[in-house]
Amino acid sequence: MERPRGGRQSHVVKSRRAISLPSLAALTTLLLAPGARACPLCAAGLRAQVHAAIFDGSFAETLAMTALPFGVLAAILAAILAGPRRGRGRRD
Amino acid sequence: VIDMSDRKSEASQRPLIAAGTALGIGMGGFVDGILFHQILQLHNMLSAVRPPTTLVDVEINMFWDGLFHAFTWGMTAVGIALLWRAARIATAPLKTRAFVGSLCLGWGLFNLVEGIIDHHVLGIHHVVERPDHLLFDLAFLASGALLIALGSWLARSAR
Repeated sequence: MERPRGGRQSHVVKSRRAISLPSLAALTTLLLAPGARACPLCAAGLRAQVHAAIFDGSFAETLAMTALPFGVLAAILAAILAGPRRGRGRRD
Repeated sequence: VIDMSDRKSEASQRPLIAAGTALGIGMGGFVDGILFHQILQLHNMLSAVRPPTTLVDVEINMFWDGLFHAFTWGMTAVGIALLWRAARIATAPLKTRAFVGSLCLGWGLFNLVEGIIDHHVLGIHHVVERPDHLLFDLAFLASGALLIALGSWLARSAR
């Protein structure tokens, strides 16, 4: 008796895998959907409340406060890159 | 006689020192953000003015923590670009001691500058949000000063 060829068999396995992966992804998405819908951050009003609190009148001020240390550090870095301007070299 | 070799050596190492300093600032920022903000949850960006006691306040702090991480990421990206530039300059020696020293220098600069501005001047958060936060804030500044001293010594000794 002749055994089925490996090439044909692997082709069938590949096709099955190709079908099963999207199916598995779809099934996972469907299973996780109720969990995602139950997300407390997506619940009524909360997202809008957070958005309003972040982008209120103090947004620019808070952004400036968050960025300030990085501005100072960038200035120090620029000074290092440009190099300290020494008036005179070391003398023996 | 002016010691020109010392000045030349200093100038040639500048690209590497600048790159290491930028990367050190980025690494220091990530230590703060990942370790203190997220893993240990000692503080958040606005935890002194908006304590994360409600879900809304947690979300708001998370947003500003994200922006802090974005700035830190930007500084790290600048460091990578500067390191690439230093590696392409034929006259810039790539000395490990100078690089490690500049990483320490950058980390120390981050702790010192961020500590002074955010913890002491603006007071938007402290290292730990408890009544005796001053001790921890000062320890954070001291760690910055120590890292700067260590980094400067390592970078100078590499010349």
